[in-house]
Amino acid sequence: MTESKESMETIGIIGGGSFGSALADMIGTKGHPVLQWFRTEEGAERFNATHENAKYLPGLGLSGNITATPDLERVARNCKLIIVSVPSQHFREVARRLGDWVDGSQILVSTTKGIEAHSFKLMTEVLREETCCLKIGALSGPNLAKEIAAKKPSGSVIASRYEEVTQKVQEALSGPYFRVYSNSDVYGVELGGVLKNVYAIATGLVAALKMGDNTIGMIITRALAEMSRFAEKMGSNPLTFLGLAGVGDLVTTCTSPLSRNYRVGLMIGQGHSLEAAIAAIGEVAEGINTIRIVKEKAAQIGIRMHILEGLHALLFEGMELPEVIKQLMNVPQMEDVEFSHRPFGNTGPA
Amino acid sequence: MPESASAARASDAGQRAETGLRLTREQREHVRSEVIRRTVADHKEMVRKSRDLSLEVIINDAVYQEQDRLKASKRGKEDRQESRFWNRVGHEFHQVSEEERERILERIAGMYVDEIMGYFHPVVHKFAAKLLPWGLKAMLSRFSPAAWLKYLGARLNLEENLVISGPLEHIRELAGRATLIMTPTHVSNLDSVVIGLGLYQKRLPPFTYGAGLNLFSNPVVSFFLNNLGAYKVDRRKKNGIYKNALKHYATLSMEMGQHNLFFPGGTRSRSGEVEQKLKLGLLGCGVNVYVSNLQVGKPDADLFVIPCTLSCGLVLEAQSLIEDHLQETGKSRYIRVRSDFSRPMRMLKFWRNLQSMNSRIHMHFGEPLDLFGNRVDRLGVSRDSHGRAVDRRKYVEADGRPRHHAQRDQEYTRELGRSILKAFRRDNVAMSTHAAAFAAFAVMRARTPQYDLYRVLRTAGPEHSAPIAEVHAELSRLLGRLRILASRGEILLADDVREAEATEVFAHAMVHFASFHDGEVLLQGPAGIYTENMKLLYYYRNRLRHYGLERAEAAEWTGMNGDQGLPTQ
Repeated sequence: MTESKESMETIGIIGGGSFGSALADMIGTKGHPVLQWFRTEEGAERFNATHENAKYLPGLGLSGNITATPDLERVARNCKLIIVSVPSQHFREVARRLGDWVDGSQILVSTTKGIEAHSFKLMTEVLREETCCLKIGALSGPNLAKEIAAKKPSGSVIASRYEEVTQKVQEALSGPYFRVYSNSDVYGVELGGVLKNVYAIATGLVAALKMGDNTIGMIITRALAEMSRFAEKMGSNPLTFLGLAGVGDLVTTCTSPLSRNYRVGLMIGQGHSLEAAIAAIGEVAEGINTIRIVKEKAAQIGIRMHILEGLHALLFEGMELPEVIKQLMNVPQMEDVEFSHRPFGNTGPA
Repeated sequence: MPESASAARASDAGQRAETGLRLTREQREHVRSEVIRRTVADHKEMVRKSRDLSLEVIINDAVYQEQDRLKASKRGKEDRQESRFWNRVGHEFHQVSEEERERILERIAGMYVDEIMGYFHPVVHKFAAKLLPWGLKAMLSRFSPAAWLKYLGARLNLEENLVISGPLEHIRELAGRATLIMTPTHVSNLDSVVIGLGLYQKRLPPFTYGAGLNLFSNPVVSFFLNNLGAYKVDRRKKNGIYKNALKHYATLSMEMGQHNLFFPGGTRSRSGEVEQKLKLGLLGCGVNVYVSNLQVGKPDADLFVIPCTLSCGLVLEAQSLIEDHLQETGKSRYIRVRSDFSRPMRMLKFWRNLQSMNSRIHMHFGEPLDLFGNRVDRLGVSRDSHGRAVDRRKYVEADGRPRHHAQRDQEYTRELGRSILKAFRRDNVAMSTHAAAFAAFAVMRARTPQYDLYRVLRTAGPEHSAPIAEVHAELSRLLGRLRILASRGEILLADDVREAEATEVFAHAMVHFASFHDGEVLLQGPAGIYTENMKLLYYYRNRLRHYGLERAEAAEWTGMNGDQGLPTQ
């Protein structure tokens, strides 16, 4: 271990997926020792032997400062900043196990963009429920793991009510190819990361149908209106959606072939069934579940989300695509920018 | 622990804390000088950190605000004294050195702390004695607060009318090992008196608390307040020096180990709803005190929070509260009625009702919490949502040592606030008057769907009657839902609604309403049920808001959430 390494704080990463590994590499490259938790002992051993995440980031040699471990206790005992990056369907279970070892002094940051179906809880809320930690944050933005691992410049938002959290994360993550901005609207930032997946499916469809760039521009902009309308009703600041976790992430996800949700939309637009598209992608496309969950919530709180509703009709109600498009083009035309003439709500749910 | 031993310990704890509320002359002097020192230090620190701020600006702000306030006030003797004080300060502070301004700031803080700490005013007490209806006169000067609480408790037959529930033994045990902060919901100006009686009855230690200065104008209540260890809070004073002095007073009181009581809603619930938002200012002092205690190595460093939910079948000031609420919402024009609270006869009637069992008050203590919103077990160990022990010191440590961190601690207090709000919602007791008002209002509201709420609130009289069968059916449905909520631990039910049929509950409520609100709230005529005071009906039904019980939300009960037929939270 080098001298500088010893003086730098060890950062914990929970999860051996593509994003967890990309972050671990970025932090390790800055000189921080990184303890990365893998679900299985074999996975951890394999990583320590090769320093490569063969499953998710094949061919990339990752930082030598990363140590993989299957031991959550070790991560909790050695790290004051722990970044949790596991798929949303396993998030609660992993958080609960982590909760056995943390003592409240740690900072926990979620990078998982997901929502719990039965409770409509976002991942920071799950962390709060499953652990005794209070200093919690969410990292979200246009962050395709493969691009970060390839050290292409990008930026992200760390959202937390705690200044200590935003400062620590900015210090740990920002570097020559990664910028980290702060926001105190945790709910809004997380919601941005969740909702954009839905619209990536829509732009994937549009691309498959070769509808043109105007259409993409309109879909993205109206998606932003829908997202911020919904988020405001849920207690967030709609202005959050003008930031990296809103429009930044939305544009990236809606236009990048690297986005799983975009690829699902593309395949369905090319005539494949939803099941076939999911099978072909091989990874979780969160947007599919999000459509169902958010549609129900939007109905409860009385918010219309036409694009999302159209996707729901297409994917789950058997409506044909031309009919969906026809209906969308007949939606009453409202103001272009809804939030321009009135005061904003508060910043976060009460 | 054997019952007798634990009772003895609880009694000891109560005794220690009770003597602690009455400060010795030395303690008072210490508190006074510390409040002044800390208030001045705070402002000097603000000046040091800010580019635009100076002591001159701070004092100027206070002078301006106080003179402005005094201009609009009634100009009693105390106001005239205050006016003279501020005029003098106003003339002095511009043309003097910074050191001189510091002295002026000390004088202002000194005046405020004197007012906050209050003093036993013999004239007020003599007057109170004359007004007290239960022959307490002789006791006033001769007996301790405990003695007259005992007397009053016996007279009011509190076993029957004040229903106290919650983990009392647990709280007694914690009172012996930590400083407690009680956070009740706020329904009526009588709450502090009721709480005082309840604490005494259940042999819980007394709590000191900040009572609105306006309450001291009622001589009867003033008597109670002083004897219950109240200090004075003047909500009209908005300037920074006053707020700081108040904050430091509460802080010092907690540092000295006095159990403190704050109404975290800040004021009585105007709408009748259970508190939905809290003011966390004074509550925030808790973390500060905890960190300071740890830093000086105090053995009983801990502070725990006891949420307390008061639910009243009838509310003394219901009319003026709901008028206030409607006025605040700004959508209605009302001529303000005189405050019910300032009418001694009305108050007397209320107390007599309470005495004759026509009205009940439920006081439910919630599970004790730590300052970070975790629940605390009987041994004083914090527990997370899965019951795992939490070392709460870790929350305030940096590099292994306890440290103050204003922004962090403010967020911790928000966490605590969320836990308190959850407790309020869970521990609210639904009573027959609430349920009957809720059902009747729903039916009446539905009969005039074209009216907005404010127009509905202006409707009254038999011409707006609702068929009694319809009201009973609505109430029956409501009771079913309330019982499901109660079985899930999301609300508490009073005896009178726990099992009774809708007709019985409704009849019970009508009798209760009639006993205090003369022929106003719920009446029965040939055409059915009507009200002569829709605003009062609205006030009482609001107690059951925010549980998803409204008709508009009814679809959720039978539809999408399937098996249980209840909306998810």
